[in-house]
Parts: sequence; structure tokens; C-alpha cells
Amino acid sequence: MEALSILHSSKVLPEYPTYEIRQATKDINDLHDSMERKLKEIPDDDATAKPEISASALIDHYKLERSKRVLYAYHDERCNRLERYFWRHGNELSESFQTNASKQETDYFKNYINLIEEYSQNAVECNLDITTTMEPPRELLAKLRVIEDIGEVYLPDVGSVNLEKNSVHYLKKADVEQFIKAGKLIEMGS
Amino acid sequence: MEAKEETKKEQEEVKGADLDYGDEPEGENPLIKKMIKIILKEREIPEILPYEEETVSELDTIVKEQEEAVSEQETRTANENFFVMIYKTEIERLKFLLKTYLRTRLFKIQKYYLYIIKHEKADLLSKAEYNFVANYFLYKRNHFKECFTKDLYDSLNDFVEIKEEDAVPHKNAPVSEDLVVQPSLKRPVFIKMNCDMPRVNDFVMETKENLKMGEIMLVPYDNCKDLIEANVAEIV
Repeated sequence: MEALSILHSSKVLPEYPTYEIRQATKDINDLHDSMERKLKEIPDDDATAKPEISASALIDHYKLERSKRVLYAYHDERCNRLERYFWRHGNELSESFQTNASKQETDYFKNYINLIEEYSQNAVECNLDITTTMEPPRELLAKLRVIEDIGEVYLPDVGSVNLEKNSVHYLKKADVEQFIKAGKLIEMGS
Repeated sequence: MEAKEETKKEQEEVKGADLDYGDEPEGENPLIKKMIKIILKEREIPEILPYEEETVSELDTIVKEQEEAVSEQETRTANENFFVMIYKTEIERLKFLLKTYLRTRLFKIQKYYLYIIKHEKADLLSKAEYNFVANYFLYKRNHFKECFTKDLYDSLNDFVEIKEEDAVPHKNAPVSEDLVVQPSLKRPVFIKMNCDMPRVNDFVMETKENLKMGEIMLVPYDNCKDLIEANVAEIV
């Protein structure tokens, strides 16, 4: 529960609380055991025979269902944050995300990228990358400055380009959007 | 005059495909206008709408043909290059419309993936979207399993283990209804009346006057769903 409120108040991805999650699953199983024990005490499934035990078992049931929903909501929200990260910053996780994400979450992130790529390739017949051009294109080419050495890359329209630190290029924005999202290229005059 | 004709000829050569922008601005092209309306509708309406196969495929074909026509022009004069730039920019704009539509749907599909599966909405999806939702469901289920459901008793697992051959979305997918996020049909939407209509019960509750053509209102989606479907009103 505390982990959920930390996630709620944080804008990024907080550290994955392995211990708390293990504890929460253990509590859920314990609640289930407790509920089963209480149900066995009720003769012939007649809830009216021992109303105090029936009520207690019902409370256990609601508690475990609630805890389970919290766990699903917690993990689902973390997945959503990873998905949103991909759409905003591309397929390379930042240092803080890499540190705080669990191994399972890193795997989920990779699978999600592959899923989007697969969808993008099969959605329509023309060559379309749905992860680029999030804003309406104003001009075909943009004046871009290289902030971080990228090296030589092949671009469909212009062929091979050496994206060396501090160099300036006129390039099709959609072709290099992954570098712009990752902060390796910036649009000049924007 | 001759120069003008020559320019027009070059323009047609580069254009190649049958996308006729004429002298009208982009927004006036009926197909583009239609696509913008479709995107707007998909974005504003809370529930997932049927995939617009025909319009998407028409636009897709145009983009594909335009790209082929532009790439075929290998040696160009400076004048031709200028038109190629214009056409490439236009292709990017058309692609942006396609991308926006596909992304809008994809985000909705992600949000309501369990609802789509449990309530048999898969027929509203394209083939690619159907494959996406099927795999998205599996990845999410496996992720929850790896993170915590493997440590719970089997009877407490809401994503019950299913056989590989059943691992496609269908209404009997073993997922607890508690986890299903449903589209909020009460969400208000802006609509514009396409024709006059007498006051109808259960429609805009506080309005007593007749609804007039061109009138714009903010109403809960489930109150105006039928009007939108019957094209009496449209999303704005």
C-alpha cells in the first residue's frame, strides 16, 4: 500500500519494492488460509449458524481481494509508465529507469517495443513507423545539431551520414526521431 | 506561358499517382477531410470504434504510390527537385494522419485490452490490431505472473494459466471481471447537429427547445451515441 502511494506521488519510476511485494503476496496467502480455516468451522456451509465467524471470513475475503487489486494496479501503473516513456523518449531507458526497473520490467519494456514494431510493420502496406512524427510535420527537413556522438548512420533519403558531436545537418526529422527523443540531436531554432 | 506549362508538366510527372490536390488547400481534399473527421471521432469517443478499413486503405495506397513515384525520379533538375520536396512534405503529412489514427486506436486498445477480450470487441479491430491485443494480453499476463501471481495460490490467480492453443483473445479468456477497465460512456463529448431535430426524451436533459442544425452541445456520450451513429449529429 505504501509502495502505491510512493508511485502515486512520484512522476518517474520509483525503485521496485521487491521485499514489499513478496510480503504482500505472503499476506494474501495467509489471509486465504485464515479464511479457509474459518469456513471449515462453519457447519454445513450455514452462515447463520456462526455469524461472527462468517463475517470474519467475509472480511478476510474482501481484504485479500483488495490487496490483490492493489498489486495488479501497482504493476499495471508501472507498465504504463514504461510504455509512456517509450513513446516520449524512445527505446533506450534512462539511467534512473534502468536502475529502478526490475528485471521483469526491463523484459516487459523490450517486449513492448517489439510488439509496437511488429504492429507498425503490419498495420498498413506503406512504409510507416508509428513511433515517429508525434507532432504535425511543418517542414520536410529540420536543421539539427548533434549533442552526443552517434557515429555513421544510414538514412533512407540521404544515405550514410556521420553524426559527429557539434555538427549541424539538414535531415528529415522522421528519419532521426529516435535520436531527437533520446536527446542526442536537437532541433536548432526551436 | 510556356514556362508555366512546362512547370505544370514537370509537376504531373513527379506526381505520378492519382492524388489530385488541384488548387484546393489540403484540408479541402475530401479524403483528407474524411480522415480528419475519423481521427477526431476516434479520439473523442470513449469506446473503441470499428476500424475504418476502406479510408485507411485508400490513404495507404495513395501514400505508397506517391512514394514510389517520387523515388522513381532519379535524375532531377533543380525545378524537379523543388516539386519533389513539396510532394515529400505532403507524403509526410498524409503519413502523419495515418499514424495519428493508428496511434489513437492503439492507445485505446492498450487501455481497454481486457474489455475488448472479455466483451468480444475483437471484430472492431483490424488484423494487425487483433494480433497486437492478443500478444499484449499475453505479455501483461506473463509480466504479472513473473512479478507476483506465481507466488499466490492458484485459486487466487485472476489470469488463470491457459493452454498455448487457447492463447488468443476470446470472451471466455480466464480473467477476473474485477480487472477489466471499461470505457466511460458517460464522458461528455462536443457534438454538432447535422439537421433540425425535435426535442427527444432522454437526450439533452436540461434542454426543452428543439435542436437546430449547426447547434453545438456538450452531452454525455451515451445520450448522443445513437445520433452520432445515425449521422444526425457529429463529433466536433
